[in-house]
Amino acid sequence: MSKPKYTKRYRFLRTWQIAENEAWFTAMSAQGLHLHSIGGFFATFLCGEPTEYIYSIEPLDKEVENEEKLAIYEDAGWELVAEMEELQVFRTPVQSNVKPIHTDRSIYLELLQQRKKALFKSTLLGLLAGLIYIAYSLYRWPILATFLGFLFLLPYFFVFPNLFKMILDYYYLYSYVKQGQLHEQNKSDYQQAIRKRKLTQGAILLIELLCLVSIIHVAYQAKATKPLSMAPAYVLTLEEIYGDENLVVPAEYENKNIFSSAQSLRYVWTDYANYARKDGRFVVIYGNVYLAKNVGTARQMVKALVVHWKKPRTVFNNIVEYTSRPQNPGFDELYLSDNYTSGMGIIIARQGNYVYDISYIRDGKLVLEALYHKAAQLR
Amino acid sequence: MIQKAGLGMAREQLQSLTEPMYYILLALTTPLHGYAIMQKVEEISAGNFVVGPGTLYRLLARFEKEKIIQQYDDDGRRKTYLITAKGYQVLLNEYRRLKRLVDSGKNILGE
Repeated sequence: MSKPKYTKRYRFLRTWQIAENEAWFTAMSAQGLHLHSIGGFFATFLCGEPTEYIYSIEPLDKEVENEEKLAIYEDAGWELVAEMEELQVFRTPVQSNVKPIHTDRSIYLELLQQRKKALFKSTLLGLLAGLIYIAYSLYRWPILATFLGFLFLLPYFFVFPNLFKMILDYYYLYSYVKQGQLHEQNKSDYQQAIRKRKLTQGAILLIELLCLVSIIHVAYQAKATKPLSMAPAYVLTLEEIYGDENLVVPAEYENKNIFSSAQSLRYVWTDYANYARKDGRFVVIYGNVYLAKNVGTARQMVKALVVHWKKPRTVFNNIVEYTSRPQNPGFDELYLSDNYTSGMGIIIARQGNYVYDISYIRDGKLVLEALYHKAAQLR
Repeated sequence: MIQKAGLGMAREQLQSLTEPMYYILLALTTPLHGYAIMQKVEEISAGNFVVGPGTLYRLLARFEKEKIIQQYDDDGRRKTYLITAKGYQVLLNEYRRLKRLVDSGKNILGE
């Protein structure tokens, strides 16, 4: 005996297009391709002799013991062919004189109504979760967006199509329940339904592809025209603020004075931390210096940093613009937290396409002056 | 909420049974399992009425919940059911209601 041969077909019809799916399976059987199993994207068919089958798709009934139900169906001549999470597909030969599964359609529609209600709930929850995700990432990611440019949009491409498909699934079940009496008519129109689905699917794919291509294009261009390969020319050190002779760097801090450089498509930056003792008092400077591709991107970085540090959980609760205030020694843009002189404050400053983000400082006035002095030299 | 709606509907429908309900309860005056019920219904209706397996299992589940029928025997996959005293009363009420309807019709239509 030869090995059974299987073939896979893409499922253009969505799960809850019940009548259309039934008609599709019947048509495939007439060509000798008999449904074997259903997956997320494909349906597998067993190749054999053309046979006229009637297919019937049933939602899984969680209230009723499945084994008992299957025994009744089997005895009545309906063979279980395939199962999905929520569905069972039965079939019977056309000529077999077998009774239809649902002699009382109102009971069947009642069952679908229950599925519809459950689907409504889960769709709503899914939508809500999706929207919360998008809102949260918009709030949380300005800094990431600043670094990565358009790339930060990538995760949305997993969220949006899924949200769309969820709504579509609900729509199909909703319209099936609503026009349940049109079952036979929908069956005869199944080819048109497939054509429609092909168009929708194609359009979605095309839009996704276009977005992806444009993202790759933007990223590639940014990379190709990137003018930055060097780290920022300097970072502000404690020596420059307090003078070398006033500082003692105890042995335990020596390894803690860390400098590291990194680069993205639009910035290069240096991260650093500098610790020492001055007059027996612990002093520290944490800093980030960004060298942006151009002044425009530097401005974006300033905005992103302000948003980032304004988060409620940071200690810099009151960050205000000082650009046109007397405290500004001459930076193009300047933001300070109100505790920048009194305690652990923050300075966000821009000079040309250099952006400085100096945080947890003491002696803010000294730091600001030293920073401006050096920044002015760089211009 | 779904549950409530289901039960409400069942109770409402039990005031007057639908055709498949009536026939299934008639059949279950003797203990029978699923497919045998379908055959019995066809037999007592002289082939005029059929119950599909999908309709049958849903109604059996509902009847059992409402304690109108009960399990008589559990032979693995094929369970046997029998009408309860409460179910018998429901069936009898329905029979009398239908008979009244027919009698009224008879007086006028005289067939």
